[in-house]
Amino acid sequence: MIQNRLTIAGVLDQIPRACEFVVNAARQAGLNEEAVHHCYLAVDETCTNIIEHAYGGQPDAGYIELICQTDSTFFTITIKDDGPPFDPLARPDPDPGEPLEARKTGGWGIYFIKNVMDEVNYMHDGQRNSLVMKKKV
Amino acid sequence: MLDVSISMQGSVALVEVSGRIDSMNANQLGEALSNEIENGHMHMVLDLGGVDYMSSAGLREIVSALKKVRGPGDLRLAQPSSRVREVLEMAGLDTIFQIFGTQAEALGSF
Repeated sequence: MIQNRLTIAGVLDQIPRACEFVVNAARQAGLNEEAVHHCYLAVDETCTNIIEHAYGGQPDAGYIELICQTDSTFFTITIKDDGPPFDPLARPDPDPGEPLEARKTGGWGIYFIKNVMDEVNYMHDGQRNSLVMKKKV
Repeated sequence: MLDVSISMQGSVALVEVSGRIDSMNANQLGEALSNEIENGHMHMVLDLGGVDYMSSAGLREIVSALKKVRGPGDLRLAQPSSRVREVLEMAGLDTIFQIFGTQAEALGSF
């Protein structure tokens, strides 16, 4: 199994570093460019949620750790944060069929992650939140 | 990372964007669209031909703008890339926005 780790400060302008790190690992794992793009979107959305919600957009609020692992079946991205325990997957999905008048403007990030990744799971280890996202190799 | 240019094409405000639209810069697009609306330009075309990536942060801004103009006017999209179209489709926005393959078609639709 190949494993890579990166820790970034929990601020928006560090997200491109996180995405670039995952893109490189995904390419090394042999994912095609569409799958690599989906990993980029999933990491961007996850980190944005952590920074805006768990860390409240405050600098120095915490760090984000990214771990990429590849085995014979999956390319796995694990993203850990120090925010309060929060399972983003427990929220009801927004409805893509909703008319404009009934729509909220946001709330699509987690829905996109669920759609573009093959498997998504949430865990809390007593200290940190972990979102584990898998893409078939 | 994000370039936004605005011109008037007759009575239609043409907003041309290039770059990647994400949580760092989506507000730049939102402000550009809001400014046009505040200036009374309710008929707008957003040309996404130069955009190779848009996250949910970008969708938030364009839906917010559409909610303000639809009725008295409209915000129509031109030439989204396949990747931008994918996120529009996931959110069901391909049936809410009028989307055109070329800028000329979008401008001519008003």
